[in-house]
Amino acid sequence: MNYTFQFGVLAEYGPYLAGGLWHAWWTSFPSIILTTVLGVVLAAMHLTRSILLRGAAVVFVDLFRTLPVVVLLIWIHYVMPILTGISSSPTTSSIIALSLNGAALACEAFRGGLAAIPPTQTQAAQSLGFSRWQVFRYVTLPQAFFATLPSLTNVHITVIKNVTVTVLIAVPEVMFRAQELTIQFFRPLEFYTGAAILYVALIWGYAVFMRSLEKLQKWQPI
Amino acid sequence: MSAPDPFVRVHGVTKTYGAGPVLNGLSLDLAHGEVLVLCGPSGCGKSTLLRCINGLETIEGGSITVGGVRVDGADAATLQQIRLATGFVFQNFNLFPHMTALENITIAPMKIRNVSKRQAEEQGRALLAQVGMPDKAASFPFQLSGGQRQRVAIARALAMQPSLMLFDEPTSALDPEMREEVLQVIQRVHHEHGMTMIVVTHEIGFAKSVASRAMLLDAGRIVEEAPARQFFTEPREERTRKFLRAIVNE
Ligand SMILES: Nc1ncnc2c1ncn2[C@@H]1O[C@H](COP(=O)(O)OP(=O)(O)OP(=O)(O)O)[C@@H](O)[C@H]1O
Ligand SMILES: [Mg+2]
Repeated sequence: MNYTFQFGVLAEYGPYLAGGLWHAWWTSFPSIILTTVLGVVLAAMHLTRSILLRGAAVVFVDLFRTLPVVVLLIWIHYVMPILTGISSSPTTSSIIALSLNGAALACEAFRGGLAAIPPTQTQAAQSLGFSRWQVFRYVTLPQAFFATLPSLTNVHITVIKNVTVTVLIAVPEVMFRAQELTIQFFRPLEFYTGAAILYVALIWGYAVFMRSLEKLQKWQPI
Repeated sequence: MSAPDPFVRVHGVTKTYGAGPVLNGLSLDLAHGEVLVLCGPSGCGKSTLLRCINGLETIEGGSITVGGVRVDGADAATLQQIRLATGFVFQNFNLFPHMTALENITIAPMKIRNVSKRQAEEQGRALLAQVGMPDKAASFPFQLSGGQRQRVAIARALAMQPSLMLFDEPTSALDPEMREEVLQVIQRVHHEHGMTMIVVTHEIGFAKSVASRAMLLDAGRIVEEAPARQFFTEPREERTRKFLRAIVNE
């Protein structure tokens, strides 16, 4: 190996590289919110009596969890404008792609959590006069939420990791900047190691935050 | 003058799960204010019957009416009306574990009857006092004993001011010391509200003092039906005598 480390370049360009985190966060954060909300909606659709809604949810989940994120992203950013005439910014395209993929995963996570709630809970709520929607809203979903948190955290982490593929459509996040700097200074090791550290820090911080949410559960299952 | 229509009428009801019938052409009538005790060996269909009366199961044959309203085949809105008028107390309490005792009681009045939070909580606290737990409003179910959980479950059902209460073995998951406190609450509820009740229980002492009628169910049919005192002291059927001997020896 005849590579001379020059981590000094990071002292100079590190702040620019780290600035990519801002873009990474503002791409992943809206995606995480959309992923979660859509995931709950899809899980609820799975539980309705309407065949149409159930079918739509099944198709959605199967489609977006099988479509590779890169294909989905390129398709939304470059093919959608051809079909619809509407083009969106790289960040918006990325949020759409990451949310569609994430929602399919989140739906399955919520469905797992909901399945773990004993059917007697639903019976008790129904016997009080709750409608199917109210049973979901007030009884099963709040209980499933905490059971789902660990797997939901994994889904969110996947969404954040997927931000790195937005380099393909030039969202100026960390990977994009690492690539840019490498081309300019021929220092791949320094800049990509920097990118790795920054993403690990972001995702680790997020995981710690999600774990702290678990402490909000003041009750225990019986 | 003809007799008034029964409050609960179960007529020729058949219910099947896969293999054989669980309820086999079962009929019973219950007048307003009556307390019916239902006994029978495990698996004879007691819980299934209660669930059918509450519209939680669909039936294949016969008909069920509560307060003159047809339960089987009812649409969602009618079913909700029937369930609002019926309180169901389960063997395993089925409290909502993520809500405090008070929230368990107030959630249905607030969300279904649109009662204000203040009013619902006032009523909830009164009900908790009525079941002897005025100091447990803020406790979660996991922090309560079995007997306390069941008393909260009874208060939760009462909060909707039902005219019919269905109890499915309300004390059989409890230690003997806790049974008495729950049975007393049920007894008090009957005396104070004169509520119509169907109670699945093998507590003979309780049944004799509260029930107007008792019934033995076996293999989805009624084996014997009699005034409670007579049922427990001088049953006609050999099957009933055998069953009563078995539960006394338990
Ligand atoms: N959801 C279900 N699916 C299939 N079979 C069921 C279901 N619920 C009850 N059964 C069967 O129906 C029969 C009657 O059940 P049920 O719960 O009504 O009995 P039970 O008289 O309440 O008994 P126990 O005293 O044990 O509570 C049993 O053989 C049971 O296995
Ligand atoms: Mg039972």
